[in-house]
Amino acid sequence: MSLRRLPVYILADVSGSMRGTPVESVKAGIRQLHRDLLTGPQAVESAYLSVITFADVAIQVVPLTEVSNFIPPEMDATGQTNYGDALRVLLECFEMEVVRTTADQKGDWKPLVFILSDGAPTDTGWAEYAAQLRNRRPANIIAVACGDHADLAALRETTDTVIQMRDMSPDAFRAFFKFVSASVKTTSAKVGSVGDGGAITLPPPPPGITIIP
Amino acid sequence: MTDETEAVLPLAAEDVVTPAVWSARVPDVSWCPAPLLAELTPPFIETAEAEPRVLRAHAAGWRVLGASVRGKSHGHRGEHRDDALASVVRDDLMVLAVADGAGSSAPSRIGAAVTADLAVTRTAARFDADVSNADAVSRLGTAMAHAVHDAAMRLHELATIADVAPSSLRTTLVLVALAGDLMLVSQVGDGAVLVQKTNGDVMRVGGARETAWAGEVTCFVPDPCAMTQAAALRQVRAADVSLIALMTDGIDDPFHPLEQSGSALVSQWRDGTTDPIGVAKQQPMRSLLGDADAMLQWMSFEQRGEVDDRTLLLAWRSAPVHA
Repeated sequence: MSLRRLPVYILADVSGSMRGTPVESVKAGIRQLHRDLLTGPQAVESAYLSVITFADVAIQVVPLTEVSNFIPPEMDATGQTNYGDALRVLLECFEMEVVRTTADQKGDWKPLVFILSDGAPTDTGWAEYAAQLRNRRPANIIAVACGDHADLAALRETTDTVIQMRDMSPDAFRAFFKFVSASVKTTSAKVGSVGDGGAITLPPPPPGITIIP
Repeated sequence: MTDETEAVLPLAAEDVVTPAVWSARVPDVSWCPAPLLAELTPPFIETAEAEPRVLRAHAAGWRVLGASVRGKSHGHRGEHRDDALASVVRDDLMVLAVADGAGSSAPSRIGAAVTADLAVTRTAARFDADVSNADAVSRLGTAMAHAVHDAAMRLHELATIADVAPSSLRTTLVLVALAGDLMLVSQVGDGAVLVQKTNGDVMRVGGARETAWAGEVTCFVPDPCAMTQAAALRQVRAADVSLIALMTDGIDDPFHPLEQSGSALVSQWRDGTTDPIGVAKQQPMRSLLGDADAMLQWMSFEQRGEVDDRTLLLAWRSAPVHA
């Protein structure tokens, strides 16, 4: 009879190509997301946030934390895009942090994951982890291709839900994180009634962000 | 001094957000969408309230009390309750149902109300109309299966009239029927049935969890899979049963697993709360049996993250059973 949480993971690409305005916009976006979630009592009760950054390696910079205790992290952008390590860390986090329903315990809601990347993987092992995510479907994953140089194919191999955000201005990131907030609130409000094998219904994306069919 | 002053500078105003608290708003839209007003006559329209709905009934040897209350989530957003309950209680037949409209579709409350009502009324009507020489299990089970089919077909009709997809009316259904010495349970989606036997044992009847994740339901009425799920009947010897509890997931989930918490729950319902179960905050109170106020008070238990509508339907023997 433990608490059922809605785990929300933000995987942020902080490789060198994100240096400057993009990474600052992501940081600001996460702060905004946090503020937005605090305005929804259901999100305050149920949503737990984690941030994983990836560059040369992936690091979970904020473990799964309830919204009211979440502290937006600092981030610096440098290095390569080790996408495989990001997916590996994500899978590890699922194993360690997310509770599944069993005969003896009540599980969490299916996790919600947002992956932001503006480039192509520079590692060679990412496909193995992408396949694990595809096969095991341990979460509702939304991959976000930022700018014009994101590797859509790699993101598509990770999840069916890929959205494109060509504009990487602060305003575009602000709008994107509003979309994330709305997605979390929608998901946490629909608990107990998710059909169709657990697929979620995302709110309409803001202008400039398109869901790739 | 300067450094100390800087160290205690307050956060920017935009960074200081007080976590939101729950509110309860009256729905500002009609319970029944306009295209369906002519289709849905009482008792459906009577459920169009944010207030709790209480159901009372009795027949020879049994008493029934149920309540359905709006969850905090719907209350905060000013939405209607999606849960429903219904019963047909006669001396020779008792049919009970609870239903939970799928929250991802707004008109699902209609689906839940219509399905619960048709499940009990059509089960009774079809059972009465069956003059075959088939055994009781077959007759009652067939009546229940056909009633679920009737409900599904009705939802398809209403979807056409309202010009929405049938999936918009999706609902779970927990259906229990007793006739003579036979008790059958049929279930589509989540929710639960608990039974206390005359020897005091408490058991869950059917309704195993479907997925590893909370809140995921893979089949609803009127999906095609509903008929298969509904036909998977569970049978209990009615003479062995002293109390039956039907509940939607708003009651089931906070006390998962019912296999472990069921006895304590039934004890609370029968005798009043003594100790909290798990982390649910409850207050001392009297027995729920026959006391709607006590039932509503019990159903107001607080548990973080548990904000669904809650529906509980109890049937208990009003006289001791002698083997």
